[in-house]
Amino acid sequence: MTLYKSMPSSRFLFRCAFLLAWVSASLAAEPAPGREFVPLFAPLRTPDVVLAPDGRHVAYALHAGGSTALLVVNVDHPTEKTMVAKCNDARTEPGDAEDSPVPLRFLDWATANRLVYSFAPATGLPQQFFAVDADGKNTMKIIEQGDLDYFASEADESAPAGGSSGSSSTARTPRPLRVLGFLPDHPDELVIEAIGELIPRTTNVPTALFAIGVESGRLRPLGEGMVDAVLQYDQQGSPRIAIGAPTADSRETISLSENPHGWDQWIDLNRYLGAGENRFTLSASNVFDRRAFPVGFDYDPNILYFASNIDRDTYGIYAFDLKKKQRTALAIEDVTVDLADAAAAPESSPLIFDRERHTLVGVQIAAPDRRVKWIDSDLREAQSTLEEKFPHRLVRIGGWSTARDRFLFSVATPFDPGRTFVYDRPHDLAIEFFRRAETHASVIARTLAFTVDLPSGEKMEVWLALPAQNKINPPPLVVYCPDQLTPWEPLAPQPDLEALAKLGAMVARVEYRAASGVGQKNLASFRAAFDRASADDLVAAMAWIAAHYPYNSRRVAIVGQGFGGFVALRALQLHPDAFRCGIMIDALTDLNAWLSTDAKVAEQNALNFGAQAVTQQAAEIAGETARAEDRPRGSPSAPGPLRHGGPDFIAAGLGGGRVIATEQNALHTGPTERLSYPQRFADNARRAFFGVTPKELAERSPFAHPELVAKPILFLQNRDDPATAVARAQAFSAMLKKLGRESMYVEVDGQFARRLPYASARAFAKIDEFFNLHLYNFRVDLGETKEAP
Amino acid sequence: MKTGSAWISFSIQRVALSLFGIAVFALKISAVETLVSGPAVELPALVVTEKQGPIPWRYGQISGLQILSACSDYKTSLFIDRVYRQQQLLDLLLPTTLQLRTAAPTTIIVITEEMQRAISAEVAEAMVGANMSGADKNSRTARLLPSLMLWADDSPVVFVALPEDDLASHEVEFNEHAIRSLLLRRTPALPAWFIEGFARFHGTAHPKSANNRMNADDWAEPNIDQLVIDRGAWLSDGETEAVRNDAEFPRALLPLRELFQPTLTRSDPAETQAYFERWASQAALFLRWGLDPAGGRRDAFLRFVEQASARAEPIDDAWTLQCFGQDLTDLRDTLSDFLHEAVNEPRTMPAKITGSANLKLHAATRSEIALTKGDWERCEIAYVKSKYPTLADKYIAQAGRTLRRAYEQDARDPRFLGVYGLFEAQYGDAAKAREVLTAAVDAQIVRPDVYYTLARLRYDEAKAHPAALGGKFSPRQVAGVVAPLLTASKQAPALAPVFDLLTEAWLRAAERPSQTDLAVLEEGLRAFPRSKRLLFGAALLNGISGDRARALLFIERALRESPTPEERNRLEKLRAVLAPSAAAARTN
Repeated sequence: MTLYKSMPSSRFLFRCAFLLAWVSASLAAEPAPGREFVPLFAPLRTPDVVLAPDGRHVAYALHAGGSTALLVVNVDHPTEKTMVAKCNDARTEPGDAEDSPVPLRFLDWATANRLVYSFAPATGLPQQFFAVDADGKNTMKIIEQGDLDYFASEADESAPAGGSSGSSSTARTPRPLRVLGFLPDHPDELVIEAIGELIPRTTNVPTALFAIGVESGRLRPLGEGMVDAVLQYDQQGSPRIAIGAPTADSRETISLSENPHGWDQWIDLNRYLGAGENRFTLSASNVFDRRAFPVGFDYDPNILYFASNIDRDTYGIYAFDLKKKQRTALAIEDVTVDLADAAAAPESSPLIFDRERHTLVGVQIAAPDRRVKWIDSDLREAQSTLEEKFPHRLVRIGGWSTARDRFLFSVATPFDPGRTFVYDRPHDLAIEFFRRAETHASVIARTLAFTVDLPSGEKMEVWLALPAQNKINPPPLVVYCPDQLTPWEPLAPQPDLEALAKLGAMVARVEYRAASGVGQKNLASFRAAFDRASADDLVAAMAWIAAHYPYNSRRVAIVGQGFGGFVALRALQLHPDAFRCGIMIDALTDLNAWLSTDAKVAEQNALNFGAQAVTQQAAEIAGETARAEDRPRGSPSAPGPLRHGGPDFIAAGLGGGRVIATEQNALHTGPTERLSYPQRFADNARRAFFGVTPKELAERSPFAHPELVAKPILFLQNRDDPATAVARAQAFSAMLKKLGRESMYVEVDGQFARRLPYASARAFAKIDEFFNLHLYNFRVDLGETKEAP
Repeated sequence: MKTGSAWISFSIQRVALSLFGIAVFALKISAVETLVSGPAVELPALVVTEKQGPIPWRYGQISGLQILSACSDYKTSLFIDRVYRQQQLLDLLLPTTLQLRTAAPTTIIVITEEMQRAISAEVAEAMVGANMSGADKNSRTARLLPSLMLWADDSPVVFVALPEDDLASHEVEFNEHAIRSLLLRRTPALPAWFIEGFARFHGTAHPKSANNRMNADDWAEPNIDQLVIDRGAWLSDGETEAVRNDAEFPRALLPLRELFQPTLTRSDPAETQAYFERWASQAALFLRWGLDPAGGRRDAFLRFVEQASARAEPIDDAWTLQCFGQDLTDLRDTLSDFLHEAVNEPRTMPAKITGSANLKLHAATRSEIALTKGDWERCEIAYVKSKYPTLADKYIAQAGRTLRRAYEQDARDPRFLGVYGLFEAQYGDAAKAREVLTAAVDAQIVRPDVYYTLARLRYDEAKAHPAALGGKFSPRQVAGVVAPLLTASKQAPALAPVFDLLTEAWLRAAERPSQTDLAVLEEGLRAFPRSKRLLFGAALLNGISGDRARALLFIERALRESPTPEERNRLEKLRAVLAPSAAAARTN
């Protein structure tokens, strides 16, 4: 106050202005590190979109300005646009420093006029499902997760076969929910499975099925049972296949319910079909080998579809007539790609049905580009028409109207999730509705996808991004090794690659051998020499690129993530002259550590997923039969479920895995990712696949040969990963330093693993710094000074 | 205003081109376009008997333009100045290399509205005299177009009626029809998407003076330093407004492959119209994107257009990648993203539009009147023949009167002789035509159609009386045909029949054409790269001359141009004859 009084007002104002100017100048002088990378990691603008059965409306989620709006637009009169719901961004994980969009867990049209949706609930809050008319009116909460909780009385707990009706005096157990879809005969009813649990000596909770009226919110129980398995339902909503949870060493049991309406009459599927002991059996040793597994039912409940690669290289789709106990003539096959993902969650399905015509129309291919093999000639023709309109792009039909006069589809490139269109077939017009992500034309000038013929005779996909702005000409090359053992969604943004391109480098994403989905032969050649083969693939890709798109061969960096980090490290060790430096993101350094499940992993899971997971994990480790849930991993290198690909596009279940077009946002996880195989089983399966002794694994681990690394390396390690992984990376970096090599170790957290914008920007600021030092540096070697004559 | 020969030769081109716009100029200038409402028979104005007494015609020439005017010198000059400025505006938007070049001057006839009314009555009279059906007489009313541009084969002739009030209060603009007409005749042919797109884009460009849009009064003392390009449009007013207000308003752009090679016909006419409108809107959007002053891609875009007109191959991904760094699908996306900006943001670019054309007029001589009026009346005949054949004889008679009377009165200006010869060749006496055309050619006039027509007459005669064995032309006969054609081939615009006739003459020659001769055909193919007729002829001549590999290349090119079944059959037969030898030649 004194100061103010002693100062003339004009002088005071001047001082304030000066201070403000100084503060803003200071802020401008020291911008947040890597701020320029933030836009590249922005979430998808329109992650979800669905077409109404009559083709007249499109419902979509639009993320903008810190919230996600759910909008409905009239296709014929697009000015008629209604916002039916809105959800502000939120901190989605404990410890997050920045908000993320709240994803939709479910979005689909029940009828031409009634839309059902559900946003992911905030931590601790129940999931809620709403229904709304196309014009935005009659919004109704039709169900809340708590409505499907299990209520058990004292008596019930001792006799776990009880029903779900509860009372105020009973104990309440929440159950995870899985949406199956809409009943064919009652499309105005949404069917939801409330998943029970059977944990010995703890609690028994039945799995139950409910139908919820989308107009009235009326809840109609469809049945329940004490089933310790993942269930596959037929199109009428009856549980027909029970896939027992495998323990670490035992075989998975697959059972069939002979009674279409029963929950308790199960028979071993192999025995029922007389199909041979091993046909429908999953064990750790055959996950990546030859086997068969059920993938869904036809609208005829006697027809069971299954995938099999027995007697062939790739998985095909076939069918059993359960009544006649014999195979039908159906054989959907492709000699180059698997038509089912052997490592996908057991409740997912590659089958696509037309829910209006009640027919199987297509199969989702398990190969990386996730194409659909259409069986229906009309849809095949539509696909072909659209591909003609958008050549050299990934065109994916995501839905169609009952009359098949309108199709929802997206057009993307490997680096760009692209745009969503409605194809108006009578007028032969592709109407563009949304751009799914912001374009970054100032970063990437052009993307290319090509196939490289490997010396072994196999083919390898390579995606190349040419930078919009070079720092030097020709530009450096960054070889990016993805984590081939985790799913890649090609239609999702590739912000890492864009950020690398922003640094002025050509970026090549190399699909080195290890990708599942392309048959046994490919896997076998990888298995034979998985470290050297992958490293050789990278070199082959570089040679091809050099011949077609010149880059500065003296400035090549290699970047690897997760298992890709293992490949990148091995490439640095085996081909030291090919690279100038490397960046390892949560890299796998020690195969033995990776393939071991021990108490530390359980501890880590407990940290991640809470006490219930500890109980499950403990029970599992103790060798008891218990289903352990694997949650999506915080980081690709963290021990995780054995999966490649995932049900990101096709929702299995009622409605027969209809395409629901809830294309997965890389930043959130879909409902069907919740279930997967237990950790120990996954590790055993991996061990079975790699099939070498611990000594051999150690020999092939980069960790064992730090002396072979001659080039500078930056380790970016997620501190939230299992302690063993963090410790190995840290130790590896220290060993390199001790050997006199240049190595930087930088810890990041789960926010970077989930690629939240600011966390990612900070990480890429480090990468930028590292590249400036080691990729772009122009070292001048001066000779001895000589006097001029 | 600049002076000097270099400028003059440049200016010739520019002013000549300006006249294409005049066909619609009158529509812009006043309300005289429609004398009566309702359905009308559109007839070109007949400048006939001058019943009201001799018209004091004034004649003048500026670079590339000859004017015959019945208006005052002041008004005529004012009008020509405006046209001249419009041409400068056009040049700012489109390099002259992409415009039509005509070596012969463009003819413009200017009359007053009063004269137009009188002519209207004459035409009505003519109609009554003609053998028109009762239905036509009852349901249609004669209407004169206030301005009309007709095309001789090698240059335009324009007829325009100026309003009686002060011309300074009217703005002169070339309209879409005029621009299309201009671009359509350029060789090599410009792509259809470019013509349509530019015609629409051009209409949004206006001069701007001293921070304001030009007012009509400013035309008297132009001080133009900027060109403003108005906001664009998309499909309809409603769609434009919607896209303007909502950057994400759904839009249906055609795949670029379809933009470049449209299939415009649909079973339903309404569908065809809707499709055409979409195609044309997108073409205009593409033009706006390509020529966007803020886009920095104008040069690349213009190179792309030039290549698209010169190359026979369809535009593909590799091509657009090379030009724009984007493949066709990326380019479609780019246009889609640009749409919101295009309909929202006007653009400005520096522009310098200067001065007057300095037209000097004098009392027209008999030759000058006959030359201009006669050419106009000659061009009218084809127009009337195509629309109202029963009236054609009257137009032929009128043109004949104008030209023959002048010839009888000793008009011997070579340019007049050229016009007269063309008329006689088309509608009168071939012998007379040959006589006067020979005289015009001997005087070395600049008019390719004159040389072609003379060559055609000689060819017909040689064909009727071949002087070599086997019905072939003697070297003398061939030379007689080829010499004027070679001259024509060096004058603008390139005329496809010139090269077709060259081919036919050499095919009928007793001696094989030389490599120099065949090089002329290559020139023709540069101007008409997709002409199946010329490609077939070139294949035949190269085959005869022994270059069978080259002949096969021409056959392949012709087969890519969607030949009719009959044409395909002929091409494949020729290929079968040539192929084995070509294969052997490659082996050797």
